[in-house]
Amino acid sequence: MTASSTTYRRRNAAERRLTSNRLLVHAVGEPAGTILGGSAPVIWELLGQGVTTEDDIVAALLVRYSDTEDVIRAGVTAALADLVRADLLEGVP
Amino acid sequence: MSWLDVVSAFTQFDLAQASDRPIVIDDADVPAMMRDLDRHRLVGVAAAAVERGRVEGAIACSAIAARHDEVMASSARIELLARRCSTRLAEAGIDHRLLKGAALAHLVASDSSEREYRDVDLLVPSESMDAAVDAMGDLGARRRRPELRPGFDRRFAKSVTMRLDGLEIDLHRTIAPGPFGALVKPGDLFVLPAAVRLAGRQVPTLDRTDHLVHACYHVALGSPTPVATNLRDVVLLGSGAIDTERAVATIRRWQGEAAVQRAIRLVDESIGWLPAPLGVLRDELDAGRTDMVECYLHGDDRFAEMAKATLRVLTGRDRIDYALAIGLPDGTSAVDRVRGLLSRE
Repeated sequence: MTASSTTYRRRNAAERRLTSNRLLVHAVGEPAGTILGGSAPVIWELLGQGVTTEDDIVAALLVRYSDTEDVIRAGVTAALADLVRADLLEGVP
Repeated sequence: MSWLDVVSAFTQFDLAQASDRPIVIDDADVPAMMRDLDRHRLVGVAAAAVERGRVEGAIACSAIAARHDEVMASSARIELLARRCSTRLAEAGIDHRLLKGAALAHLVASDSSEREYRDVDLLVPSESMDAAVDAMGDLGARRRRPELRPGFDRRFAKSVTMRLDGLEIDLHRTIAPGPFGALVKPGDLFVLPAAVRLAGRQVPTLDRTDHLVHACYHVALGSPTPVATNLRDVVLLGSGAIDTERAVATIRRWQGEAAVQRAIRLVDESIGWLPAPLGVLRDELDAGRTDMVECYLHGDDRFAEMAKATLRVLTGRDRIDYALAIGLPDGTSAVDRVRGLLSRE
């Protein structure tokens, strides 16, 4: 497992579950919300439960899904980057 | 199913004793159904039914999902505005309670995505109404209509409506318009604290029993034809732990028996059953002042009729000052202001 020391913290946000397993997240102070799809809603939920590093998120998803670690990690890395870009997460190295 | 049956099925969706038959929607009915789902604020419930595979009709499912995205984006914006308003009121030292949809979406809906709403409703103590309006003004909110006369808002108004960023904020002094609203003792609603969590912040709201009493007033008096989601609110609230003894005492103290009996009757007719606490209220309460309900059932001239009925429940100086404010409002254009008043709801 690749070590990652960055800790991610969710911004306070209003959330609404949408159809087809999508999640609307509208952070405080932002003019509009962002719709999360794919694995992002699950990652967002894990972050809200105190699972705050990439390694821990990957470990949690390995328990849930049958994909290989490489596949899951690639998805988590991309999703975390998207969430940071959307200003929904703060990453603390 | 006719689209009226469809709306009825969504109104009852997921409530105890509701049918679990599929909700079948013809393609031709979709436009009318969507208009009604919007009017009755049932888009969230309909989307939940779609997600659980209970809706048959591909076009309907697609239309519901698309509209659900829109109303949830709007509800999330309003939730954040409610949070912002609450924060500002707390900073200004003004007690307040979040009312209606923004609170009920978190308190009674199975999921907040099942309960849409269109504005922020906040109850503030009568004596704090002017300060609350100022505090909302600090955020950039502007009131839709000027105060009729100095002191009218804190003494007589049901609410002051303000707008911010295209959204509506209703600062309530009481929970109903007209004579029933004038007889409410709003201070009763600040006795028991409760809270909902909005985007990480605790926002004060009513306790469940007070929410139920308010929901009954809203169903009975808010509009001649109640919105279905408000009927669902009464059932959902009544399906939880309710202090019926306190509810009965509150309703009697406010002389609200006729309003609550009307609400229970409307719920029974629409939903087809009553949770036990509503049965207790129905049996414990008298018919009350049924004559006072009449003014709420008018169409276009509803406000004028409510104003006349309000005069009848006010006494002494209050009656004179209310009549003066309604008949001779301050300002340069009394005609416009009276016209504005008559169109209030």
